[in-house]
Order: sequence, then C-alpha cells, then structure tokens
Amino acid sequence: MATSSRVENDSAPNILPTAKRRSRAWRRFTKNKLSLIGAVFVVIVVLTAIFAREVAPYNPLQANFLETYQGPTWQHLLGTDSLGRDMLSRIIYSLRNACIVGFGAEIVELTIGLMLGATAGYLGGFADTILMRVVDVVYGFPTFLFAIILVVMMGHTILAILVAVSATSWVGMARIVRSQVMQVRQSPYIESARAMGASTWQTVIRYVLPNSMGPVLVAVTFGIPANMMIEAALSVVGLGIQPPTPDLGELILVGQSAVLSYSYLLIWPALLFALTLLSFSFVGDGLRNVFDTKSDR
Amino acid sequence: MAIAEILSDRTSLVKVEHMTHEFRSGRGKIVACDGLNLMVRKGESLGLVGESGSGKSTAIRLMQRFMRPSQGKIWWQGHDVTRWSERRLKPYRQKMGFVSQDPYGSLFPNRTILGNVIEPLIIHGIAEGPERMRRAEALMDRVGIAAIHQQVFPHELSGGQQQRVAIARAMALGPDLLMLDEAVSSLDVSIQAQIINLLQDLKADLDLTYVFVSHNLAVVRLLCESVAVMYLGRVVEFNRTEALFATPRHPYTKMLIQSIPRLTDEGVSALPEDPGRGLIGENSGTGCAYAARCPLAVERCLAEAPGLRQLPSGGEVACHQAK
Repeated sequence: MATSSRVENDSAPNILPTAKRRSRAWRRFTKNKLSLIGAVFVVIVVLTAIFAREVAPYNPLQANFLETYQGPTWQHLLGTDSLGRDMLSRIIYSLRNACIVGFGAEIVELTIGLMLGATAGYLGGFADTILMRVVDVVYGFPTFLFAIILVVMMGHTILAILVAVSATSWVGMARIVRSQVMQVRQSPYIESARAMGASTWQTVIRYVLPNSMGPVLVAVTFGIPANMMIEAALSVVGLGIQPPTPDLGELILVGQSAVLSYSYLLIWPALLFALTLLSFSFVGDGLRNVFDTKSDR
Repeated sequence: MAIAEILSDRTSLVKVEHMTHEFRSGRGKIVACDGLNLMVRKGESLGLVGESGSGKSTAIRLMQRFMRPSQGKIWWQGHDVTRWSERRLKPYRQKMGFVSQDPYGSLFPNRTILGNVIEPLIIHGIAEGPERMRRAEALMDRVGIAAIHQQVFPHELSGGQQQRVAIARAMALGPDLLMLDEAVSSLDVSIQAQIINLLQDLKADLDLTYVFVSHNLAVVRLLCESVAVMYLGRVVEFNRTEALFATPRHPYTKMLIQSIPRLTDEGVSALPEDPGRGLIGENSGTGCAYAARCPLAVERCLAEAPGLRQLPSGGEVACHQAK
C-alpha cells in the first residue's frame, strides 16, 4: 500500500513493551524510598487487620489476673495490661476497627464525592451552583462535633462511627473531583467523544472520570488516615467502639493514664498508630509522583 | 426551482442557513459566525480558510452540532437538526468523522492506540470482540500504523502517528464526511505532507468528502473542490478552488494568496505587507468589516456592508468593488 511505505519517515518513538511501561509508574512510585516502605507497612497493617484471628497469639478479651502489668516477655511480647490481657493481641485486633472505619468511610466519601463532584463539574451552570452551595454548607459543619452528635444519636456501633466519620468529610472529595472534572471536560478528547456520538453518561464514565483519577487517588490515601484519626479520637472521648473491644484510641487513652509506671502500654499503640498514619502519607506522596506527569510526558 | 432544491438537498451532507453564533463574555458579545450559508455536497469537499478569529473553527463546530447556533438552521442529509437532542443526532454522527487540531489531546489518554480506534465501535455497539479488533486493525493498516504501535498509549507516538490514529478513529464508523479542523497545522512540514497524501488517498479510495478548516491555503487547494474564505465571521468569497486561486476577487483573498511564501530560483520572494491603510469611518460598525484594511475601500464600504453576490464569471463575493 502506498501509505505504509511512507510511514518509515515518521520519527520512530521509543516503544516500550507493556511490562516496561507498567514498571515506569512503579519506578516513579519507588523513586522515593519512603513511599515503598510506607506501602509495605500499609499492606502489613491491612493484612494483619484482616487475619487478626490467625495472627494474634491470644484472645484480646481474655483477662488473666495472674499476669497483670507484665513488661515484655517471651509469652507476651508487648506485655499485658491492667487485666492481664495480651497487649500484642489487643493492638492487632484494634487495627480492625481502624481499617474498617478508615477504608469504609473513605469508600462512602469517594462514592458521594464522585457522584456530586462529577455532576457539578461536568454539567456546570445551575447544577454546579446548587451542589457546590450544599458542599459549602456541609463544609461549614465542625467535623468532629458533628461526628460526636451522630454517634450519640445512633449509638456506639461501628456502623454509626462509620457514618459519623464520613458524614462531613466527603466535601473535600467532592471539591477535588469537581475541579478535576472541570479541567478534563475541556480536553480535546471530550470533543472527540461528542463527535463520535457518545452520550453524556458514556462520556463521563468512559473518559472524564478515568482521566480525573490521579489527584483523587492521592486524596484517598490522605483521607484514610484522617478517618482513622477521627475514629481514634472518638474513642478517646469515650464515644468510639465500646470496651472491651480493643481500639487504638482506647489503648492510647489507657496507656497514657499509666505512662509513668507502665510506659510500654502507651508507647506501642501510639507508635503503631503514628507509623500507620505516616505510611499512608508516604504512599500518597509516592502516588503524587506517579500522577505528576508534567515532569516527563 | 423547488424540485431542484430538494434534489440538491438530498446530495447535501451538511447545509447551514444564516448560521450565526455569538459568544457572550464579560466584555460583551463576540459574533464568531455571522449569517453563514454553506452547503457541503457529496464528493465536493469544502475548504474554510481565514485568519485566526475569523470564526472558521466555530463554524465547523456548529456544523457538527457541538453547540447550537444563536440563529439560523443546520441541516444534515436534508434533516433540520438545529434543535435535535444528542440522542437523535447519534445515528447521524456515524456518518460524520471529526479530526481535531491537536492530535495528542484528541486521543483518549487512558486507552491504547487500538483502544482509541475501537472506541467509536463500542459507543455505537457495532461488531463484537474479535470482529472489532479485526476492523480496528484494518483501519490502522489503512492509515499506516504498524502493528507494534497498536498496543501503546497515545503519548508514546510522534505527532504524525497520533494524527494518523485520530484519522483512523474518525473513519472507524465508515463516515461519508470527515470534518478536519486544522488537521495538519500542528505538524512538521514533512509530516504535514505525509498526512495530506494520506488524506488524498483516503478521499479517492473511499469516496470521502471533507470539510477542511485551515489557515493554510495551499493545503486547502490540495484537498478541496471549493473554498470559502472567511473574515470576521462572514464568508467574503466562495468559489471553486481552481477559480479562486486563478482569479481571486475579494481583496482579502488576494492578500491571502499573495502571502503564501514562494520559493523561486531567485530566492524567497518578499511577502506583501498588509497595507492596513484602508478607510476607518466613524460608523465602522455598519460597513464592510474589511474596510479598515482594504486598499480598494471607498466611502460606500463604510456605509453599507456588502452581501455575498453572485458574479457573472461564477463564484460569490462580498465586496462592492470586486468585479
């Protein structure tokens, strides 16, 4: 064919095999070693939470009055608390609530944020004005106070806490999605989609949202630890998961009351919590590097 | 007359009548298209030329009904589609491909090259799995994209290849009409030639009709049977391509044709400078828009805006002075 003979004149781009291309994102992510360490840590935390029953050496609720306030020993690696319960097991089980609320609330936020943000951003005009005023109003609510009110009203169940945590924090997500969608909507390929006859729904689902995901994903990795923080804080004020179910906030609260005599009761849960939050931040930074494609096209 | 008009409508792929579009901004309104009358018949490609801001891109977007005109009517294959919903337009969009100015930006960045070409088939629910792949691969082959390039993402290709992919995608649904908005302007000159050759081949082989928007007269000359020259939202001259290049009537067209740089044995000919010494009247809003730059301008040009009029020698021109 006449056309194919001319193709050779095109400057040949460096074509990478698929595997190599995938690894480019990975290379960007791991450019910052802390991101990799953070990701590994997050995966360990999540797996531990899921397999808490298998991993924990003891029943976290099992009191043993012969072994109260034991420092770290071979039987109890992180010692025992005032009722002789194994600290390691309690910490492992406490990750469950943190993860359920952290990830669960983020899923709720993401769902609401994507729906409202995409609608407002893509349609613009009147719909945008109305939705964004709603967002402004909710943004004005004091997050923590509102969460407390909800938990008091709905009872101290994990579901109530999940609702309370996500009740106001979806607004940030909605704003991020909206601004991304507004930007992507201007892209020439959206016009191409119209030219080929794609409906609004198809355009949004197939082209607008997938191409808006970068900053949203970064926001998710910062949202999860924020949710965990609120969940723990609710515990600290006595409105979280009710004892004896272990919870990081409650462990830290109990630990700090005994910090002078049995400091390990505070140190381990606090350290784990801090490291978990930090790991998510590092993962977020790594993802930011992946999606920040301005540095090389 | 009426019957002739109906018959001509049948062969007309796109027709616009008195199409006017205004953009409203904080500083007032801008008339991008002012009462355009254009018809694209099958096998008779139309070139729209003019400088930046002459409204040619707006015109091609209106013709595709990406937006609704402020006034006037748009016809597709004899149907008045001015007020049609997107859902009703969808089957007609199959017959109309679009290639935009920015090859990289117009491709879906989250799809591979092959995925981009398959996309219109998915949107219209045409063909299934392996059949889709086969069709897409045939299109790629037709525009000259090698198999090893089909699994990569748009940013990994060169501009020329990206534009080939965009053309393949525009042709995926088997259109009669391709709308090309400055389709070669962002490419290197050598690559431009390749794409123009490709477009010429496609036109001949597949019986395609083009609407080609460009500021580059030479490109239009190669691809289009007739040319409409636009100036500030209006068509100032319309003629068959050979006639327009041989005997430009409107002073603006003359200026455009003279400003094509020529390479001759004596070296590069100097470009004529825009005289820019026309008449500027106090009521310049009513007169000919080109009067301020026109070397032929007389008092009448300031008072009265010239409409398009038929010339005895064929073609239409909007100028009081042109003969």
